[in-house]
Amino acid sequence: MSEIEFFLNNWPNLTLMAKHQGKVIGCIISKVEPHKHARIRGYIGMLAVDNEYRGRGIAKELISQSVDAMIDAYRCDEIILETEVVNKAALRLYENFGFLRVKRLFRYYLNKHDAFRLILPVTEKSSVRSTFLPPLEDAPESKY
Amino acid sequence: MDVGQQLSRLNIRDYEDITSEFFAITSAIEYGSIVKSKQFKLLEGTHALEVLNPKLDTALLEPGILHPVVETLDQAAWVMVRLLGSVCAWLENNSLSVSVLSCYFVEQLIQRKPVTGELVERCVAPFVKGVISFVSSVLKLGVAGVIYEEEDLNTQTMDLDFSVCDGEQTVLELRNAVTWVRSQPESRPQQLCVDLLSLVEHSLHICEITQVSVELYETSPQSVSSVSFADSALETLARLAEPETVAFAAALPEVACFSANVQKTLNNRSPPKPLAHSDFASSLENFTKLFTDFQFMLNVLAVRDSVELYEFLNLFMTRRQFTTDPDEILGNHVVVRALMQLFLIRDDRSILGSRRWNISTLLMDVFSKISFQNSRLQSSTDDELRNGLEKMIIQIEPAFYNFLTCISQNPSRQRQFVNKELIIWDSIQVEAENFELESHAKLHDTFANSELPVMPVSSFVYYLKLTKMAELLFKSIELCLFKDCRELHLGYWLLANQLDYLVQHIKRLLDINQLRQTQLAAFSKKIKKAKGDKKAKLREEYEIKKQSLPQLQKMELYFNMLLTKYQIHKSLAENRATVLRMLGKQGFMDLPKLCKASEETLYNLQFKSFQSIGVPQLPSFKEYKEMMKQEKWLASQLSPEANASYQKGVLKQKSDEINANIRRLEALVAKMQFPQFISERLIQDTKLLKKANVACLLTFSQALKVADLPKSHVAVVFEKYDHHLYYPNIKVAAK
Repeated sequence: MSEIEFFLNNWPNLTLMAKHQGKVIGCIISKVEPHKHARIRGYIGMLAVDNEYRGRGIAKELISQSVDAMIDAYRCDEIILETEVVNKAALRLYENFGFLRVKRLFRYYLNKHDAFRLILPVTEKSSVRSTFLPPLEDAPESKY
Repeated sequence: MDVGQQLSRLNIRDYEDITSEFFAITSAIEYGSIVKSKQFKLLEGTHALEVLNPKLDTALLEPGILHPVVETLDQAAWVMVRLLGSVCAWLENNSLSVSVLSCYFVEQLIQRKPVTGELVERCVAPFVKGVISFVSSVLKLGVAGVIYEEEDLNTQTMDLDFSVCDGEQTVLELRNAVTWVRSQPESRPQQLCVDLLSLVEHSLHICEITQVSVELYETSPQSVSSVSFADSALETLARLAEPETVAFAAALPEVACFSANVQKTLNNRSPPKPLAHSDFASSLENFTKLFTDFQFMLNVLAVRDSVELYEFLNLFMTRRQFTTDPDEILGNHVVVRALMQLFLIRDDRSILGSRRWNISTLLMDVFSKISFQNSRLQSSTDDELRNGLEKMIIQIEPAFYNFLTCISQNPSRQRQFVNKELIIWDSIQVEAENFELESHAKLHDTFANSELPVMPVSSFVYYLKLTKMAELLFKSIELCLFKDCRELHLGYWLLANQLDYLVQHIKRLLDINQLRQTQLAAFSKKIKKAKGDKKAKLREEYEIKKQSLPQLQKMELYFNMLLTKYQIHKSLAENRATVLRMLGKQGFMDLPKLCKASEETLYNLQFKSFQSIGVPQLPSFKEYKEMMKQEKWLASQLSPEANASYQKGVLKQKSDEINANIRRLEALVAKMQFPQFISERLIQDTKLLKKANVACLLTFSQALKVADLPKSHVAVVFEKYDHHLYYPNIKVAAK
């Protein structure tokens, strides 16, 4: 089973597709889980847009809808993702939504380059260290 | 390719065919649905092997056609050059299966299988055994828990035992191989083979350093005779790196002895991956870095006291190699990073294997020099106070140990280590203050003509905490975590704010130092006045305490050096913030267009690490906005020209102050009489600070030139190459 299938199976409402004349031209997959029993964390696992359809705001729309869904349906405290330091286009795209670089990850993708962990803060909880947050009440444990 | 074709490629003979049974059972599963056994988690399914999926099933790999015949020295040299490239690919965090183990000769020799042919036996095999032995020793460093698996080094060995080649025997075989190759008719590949064999032999000695025990502060790198191999290795590498040799190596005839076969035949936990190897020039760079960094590491043997050791460890940690790739941050070589920690701190907690120095005694020495020397708490015999102090030291030790381990981390991890250390120092500070306020009644250790308690423990803890707070911001800048003008402004603004606290606190440490020196000077008067037993006791006390005078004087100089250094950084950060604010008028400080978070939430997340810190408290977002409002108001009171002229004046004045402080810093570094390897690096740092100071004024002029242009017509670029780690050049130009 691929990671995509894993995401799709567990958070079907967070897998969004962009279609043109019946053809899938873009996709974003995300998940939401409790993080360290202290906050609800959304995670964007993958975003892809068909080469032919790039530069038309499809990725922006997919991110926007996915972020809104994670906030509205799951009450996320923060949304995170990782992207390669050299992937300037992806960085620009996410950072335009307010995502901040909170950590640099050394050779994250098992090659020469590092990655940035980006976080979009949603609630106050995202700016407090987990150690200092009260445990989540009625938080669903990670089922997977 | 259909299933039948794929199965035929698997060459299955000894297994029972269950295909039809499998499909019969799985036909009950509805198409598109996922079924899950309770025995494993769904996430684990993502790591499972998908049989017959060419991207995941290594059994489907096409077998590599090998013809490992080496008949000429040219071919032998090619094998060695290529294998050296495989070793470097492994050191660059590729797996052994795609790098070193992709070599037929490695695969054979590590499994004690024979290799044939005179050239193979006499020249290639010793080289391969040398490589296996080198990998074995580096693997030991990798699994020692000081660096990170799959981040710094991949230690998956496919269940093969790399320790099959005994070190001493391998060295002997390498030397015999050199002798044999030298006995062959003189030729170009002959010298290349000799150099490559020698290089591997030198590499085998690197990890031996962890076996060397010395007395801290009493040795020098030269006195450790076994380290001269590094000089020889660098000479060999310089010879190999000559352009003609590199070009010659690139034209050598290939031998079909590298393949992905081990991924298919041996215990492999990864999906199929292409082979990885560095080209010859990159391999030589990698090994040159290894030996150069190793030699720098050995300077730890030449430090003479804990101040020098502390400075050296900080220099080692922040040591970087300039690279033209703006997205790359090159710290010390991974082998040297792991070695450094294992060489510095031994299993018995001793430092360099010293009989006298261990983590605790080193900590006490640093503590003593910073603020504890000649304090009343130090000489107190009160059991309660001594127990209290002991408890405090026990709490401080993990934070100090964190620093000692941080130095070996990669640049990204270093920041995470500092971040972790901050919480520890913050909680210790609270405890330390409580302990010292409670013990004040008993000790009454106060500043002259004052009721203000000296509080040596809290002063030490607060000093380290403040340096770590600043370090966290410095490292955030270095790692490019502040992506644009708005965020970089925030970073420099908070940095200046925190450095102000640090500067004030160093002044306090200087006051403590002065107090102890004054107290010593006052002894002679006291002794003169005293009579009988009291006089003798005082004289005795003086004789003990006066031994600390040279140390106190050296620390006074050191604190002055630190004070000047941090004043420079504070002013530089302030100037940068001013220039960035100026760009704000054109919208460079605005939030991104589609921003889904408020500025306040972003501010709080940006400074998450400082949110829980008690003292100094993070300025609130409201306070930040108030400062920005005041700056705006100030600018609005003047015409744009007058405001520009005023800002320029402020920047220029501060810039002159920075230059004066840099000159002062250079003089203080000279006075400290550090060993050359420390003073050189400190002076090099001041040169880059000077450059950062000039660059800031230049940015201001550039910003002025484009002040009337809209944002879309202006480009702001951060340049890192050849600039100070913490002060990238901010280049402003019309598009």
